[in-house]
Amino acid sequence: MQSVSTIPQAQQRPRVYWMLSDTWELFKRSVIQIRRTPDQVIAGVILQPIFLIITFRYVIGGAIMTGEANYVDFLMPGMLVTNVIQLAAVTLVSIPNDMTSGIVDRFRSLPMEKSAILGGTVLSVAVRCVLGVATMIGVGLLVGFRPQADVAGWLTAVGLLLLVSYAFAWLLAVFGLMAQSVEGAQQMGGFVWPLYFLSSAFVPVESMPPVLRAFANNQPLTPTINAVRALLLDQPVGNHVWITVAWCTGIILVSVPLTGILFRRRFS
Amino acid sequence: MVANIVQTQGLNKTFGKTQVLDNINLNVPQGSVLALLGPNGAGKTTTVRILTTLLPPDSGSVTIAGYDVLREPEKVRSVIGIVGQSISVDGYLSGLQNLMMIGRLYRFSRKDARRRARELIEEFELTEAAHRPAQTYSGGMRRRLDLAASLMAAPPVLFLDEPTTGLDPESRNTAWDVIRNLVRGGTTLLLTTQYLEEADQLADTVAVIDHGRIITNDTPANLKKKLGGERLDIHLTDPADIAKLPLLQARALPTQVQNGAISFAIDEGERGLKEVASILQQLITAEVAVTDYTLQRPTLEEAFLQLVGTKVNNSVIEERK
Repeated sequence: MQSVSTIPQAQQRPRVYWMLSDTWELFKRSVIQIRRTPDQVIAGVILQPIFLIITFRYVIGGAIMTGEANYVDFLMPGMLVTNVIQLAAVTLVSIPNDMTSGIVDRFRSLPMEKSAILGGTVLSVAVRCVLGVATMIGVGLLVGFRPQADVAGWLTAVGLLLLVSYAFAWLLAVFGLMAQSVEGAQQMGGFVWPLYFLSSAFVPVESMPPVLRAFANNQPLTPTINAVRALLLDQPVGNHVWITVAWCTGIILVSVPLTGILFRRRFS
Repeated sequence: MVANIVQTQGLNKTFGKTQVLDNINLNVPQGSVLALLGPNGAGKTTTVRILTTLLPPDSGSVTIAGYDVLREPEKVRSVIGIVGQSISVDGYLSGLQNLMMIGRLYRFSRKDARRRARELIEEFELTEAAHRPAQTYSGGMRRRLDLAASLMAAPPVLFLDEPTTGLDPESRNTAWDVIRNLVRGGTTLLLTTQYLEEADQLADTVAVIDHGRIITNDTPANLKKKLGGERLDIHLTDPADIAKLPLLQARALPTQVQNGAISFAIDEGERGLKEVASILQQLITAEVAVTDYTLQRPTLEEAFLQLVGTKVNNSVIEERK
């Protein structure tokens, strides 16, 4: 055995420091997981978006009247938003996966901040999103997408994409913690699909019957898509940005404490 | 100082309608080894989870190094290490990355975490695999990494939940050596096991647990005495020959003389050797034909039969060789 003198001492720092430090350590862990699973990255971040863009741009798009001169300009912001939410849904699987392995017991038995266990995973969604957004814009440009935004517009749009994916990653973590199994959690992911299609992502909301239009106008993705679209096409943004920020803040404020409650209940 | 570094009083735990722990009282003196011996489902893992802050008890109290598990869980976590039954390292991270992450979560500086991680990687002979993802490790290597992870902060109290279940004999011996080394270094150990031999080899005290109750709590030597040590079974070809052996008949275990089969309780060590020799000598002198003879230790199942008088589910007991 090692002599006692070689055992490192725990550092004394304020609690906030450890919250950030522990989250950073678990964030790094999730990023290593992303690097070690290139198949997932290729399928989810690259192939799926390419397939969807081609389908909507060339197969379905011809039949959709948007009032926009170029349907691909209308389509791409919707694609970006739905894609980052799809990438955020990784928490639906990775969190119940962790819960059923021994690693959460290991973390819980350490003198670390427990909030970092979920926080690190959720934060790593940002890495997937940056990769996904970059791929999508690249493919979009190839198929005729011509964004007009200046640097500030781009930064705001990407910031909104990261914010909405972060909020949904927490929301989906709630579902992941409620699920009894990894398979069950995957099924729960289905609830986001109505949000994709009953939104302004692929068609103008005005074309929908009144009830669906009312739903579409009052769910979080429509203002997000409208904001990103207006920013990238250099159109009047209105208050879409603020409505998006309000929605995301609300989702985070509800979901984060809920994950805490569900996490603790699981181990009592 | 606290004499008993681990102390539990009246632990109860119920899952749904099943009482899994019933009034568990355990005391582990500093620097000693307690083995919690019992079959699957006896309550071993639940006990360990409660003692390591992972699960709250319904009632009862636990102190580790003087800290109350319910009131000061963070203090408790800073003095314990746990090796659970399921592997608790990240399969995507390399061995070194796993240990460094855990070091950082123990609040070590980056430099200290790396140095300590390297030390343990070397000590547990994982140097060549240090940079490979842990999911590529063999079962034995992963267990060693798991143990190394638990030792990052050199905790004074270590909990090992069935540390050798599923290991081949060679890996088991290696694990035992590692455990003995830790004890030599002053670590207090609580380990659970299904193997009588393992408890015998490693523990100062053996607490036998079944259906959530501690049945007996004693030294391995006393426990073996209670269990009767070795047993010699002799099968006579002609059951009537028993009449030629009045002396042996008197010595045999009373319940075990039937159909030509006679059993004898044999002492440990040299005394036992002489006993066996004298019994066999008498058989030879009397010129009695013997079909079969065996010398064996009681299996855990037999031990439980003797201790609890209830039948233990056969499927959960691993037969001893």
